[in-house]
Amino acid sequence: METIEVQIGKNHRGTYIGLGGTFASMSYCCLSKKALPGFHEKGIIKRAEMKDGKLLRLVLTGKHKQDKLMAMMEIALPNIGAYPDTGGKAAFFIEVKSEK
Amino acid sequence: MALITQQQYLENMKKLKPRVYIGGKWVKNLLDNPVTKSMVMANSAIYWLAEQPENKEVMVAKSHLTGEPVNRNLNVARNIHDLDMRQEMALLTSQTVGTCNYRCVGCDALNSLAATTWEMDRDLGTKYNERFNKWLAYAQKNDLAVSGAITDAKGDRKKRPSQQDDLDVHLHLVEKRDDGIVVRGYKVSQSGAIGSHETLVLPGGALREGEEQFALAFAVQNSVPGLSYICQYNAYSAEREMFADEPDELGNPIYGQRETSTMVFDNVFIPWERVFLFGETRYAGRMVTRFAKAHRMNCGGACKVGFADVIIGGTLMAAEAIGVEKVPHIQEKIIDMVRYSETSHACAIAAAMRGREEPKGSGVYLPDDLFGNAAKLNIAHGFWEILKNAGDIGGGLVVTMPRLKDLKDPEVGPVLKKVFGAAAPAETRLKIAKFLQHWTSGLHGAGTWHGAGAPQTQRFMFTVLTDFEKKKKMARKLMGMKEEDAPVKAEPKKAAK
Repeated sequence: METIEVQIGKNHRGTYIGLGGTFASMSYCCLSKKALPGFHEKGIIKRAEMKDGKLLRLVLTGKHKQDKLMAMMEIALPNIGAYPDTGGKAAFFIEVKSEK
Repeated sequence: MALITQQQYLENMKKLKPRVYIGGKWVKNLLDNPVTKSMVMANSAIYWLAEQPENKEVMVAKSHLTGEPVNRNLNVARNIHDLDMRQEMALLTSQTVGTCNYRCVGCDALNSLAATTWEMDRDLGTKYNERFNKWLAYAQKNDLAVSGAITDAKGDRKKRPSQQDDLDVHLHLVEKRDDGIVVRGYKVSQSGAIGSHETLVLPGGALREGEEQFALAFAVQNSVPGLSYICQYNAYSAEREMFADEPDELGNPIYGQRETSTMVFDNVFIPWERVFLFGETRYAGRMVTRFAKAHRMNCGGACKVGFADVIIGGTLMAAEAIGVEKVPHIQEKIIDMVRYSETSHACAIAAAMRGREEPKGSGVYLPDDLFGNAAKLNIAHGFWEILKNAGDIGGGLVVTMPRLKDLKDPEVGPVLKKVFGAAAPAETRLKIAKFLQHWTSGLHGAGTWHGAGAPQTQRFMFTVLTDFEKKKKMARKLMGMKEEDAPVKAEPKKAAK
């Protein structure tokens, strides 16, 4: 199993746990397919980049408040097979920002 | 958390956003479309069944990985009792929802994977079984609804997979990466894949050396980008949409007919942790055969018996509604329906009771092949007979009836009540007739014929599994005939490969 932490700004954190390879799935979707799991509209990802193989940085198209970004990730993660979890040390991170 | 409730499953489904197309529309929420909703409701009923204390023995098992209680749909059979309860689950779920237990194919697929990955690790020194067990523990922990995808589109049957003009007619490898694989192609007639958390994908059949790109087995998440579902659409889909707010007009108001889709894999990434067969062509056929072995006992011998039970019940009520339930030829036909049905159930029970560990040492129990195939072949033919008798006893009304709500029409309603009133009121008669129409004129006849493999595959298995020389020898002995006098001399039995 692997733990993934979603980071939005300084205050929004979400921890998800999924089968090994879940972060790789998420990364492939965002980097290669430019798609966010659970969202079918095209162009939702403005920019995606990987850092050190552990940190996925996403910039989503449009101007969204942090609450909205968190709500979007609450849809995206279960749709790739990662479910909310309360603890555990995260091995992978997803940093999400809105387009400025 | 090894068992979730019906409500929790429904909450899960509200969050899942698979890319689903049905009848000219893209579905944003499975619970908003009346057709896809029927599939989700049927799956939810399987969770509900597991919550009921009286069903615990049938619906709940003990995980061999964690010791925790798990839904039997996620259980690997470890003994004869597990096999017996598995076929009883198929019976109970069909009796309850009158359509697919949409977790059934996934259950039989995971049993095949448990056996075959163990065998590959033993023979080849791979780590597939370890991987598979991690996936299974995750599925059990979250009580995931898992469907199974086996059937490829296949294309021109005269050609091998690699000779097809469009390789996508068999699901195949596109790219091998450090972190996983990328696949594309189609899987057709996939029952309930849309409303499952995950789908187990197996090869569509036996493969040869040189066909490694098609030898793939893996678990895929329901809503992963690149995966789309194109749902079946037929008269019953249109009817359900038309009567979305008047479900009483439908033959199976909540759970519907049987919903399948074509799964379209457009360069879908599968991480290695979810890959359970990668290029080992020698094991593709075994994987499919073991799946079929389990599925013919369950889908063939038990599931359709559950359908038969409700059809027999409806047919008896149709006879009572017109006062012919005591007429000898009606009773005879009802008894024939029971005979077809219970013979298949007996074959399923026999398949479970004669089940055995396969491969030896794996700890995985699979049903007896011959009895499982007998169960499926028997019900494939018997189910048409059951439908025929239901249509016979149900009468022409089964296909000539008006809508139920026409009985409430101020102008024609009073007439219709007089026309169709018999030993029971017109409302009761029409409701029963609609139920029988759902079965006799619906999708289940051909579905039963093809589900778990069309009968020709079972006939082929009979030729493989039956020792005809032994039977001839027994006959010769009774006749007092020497072997050299037999019309054809016995050929030495070929050693099993």
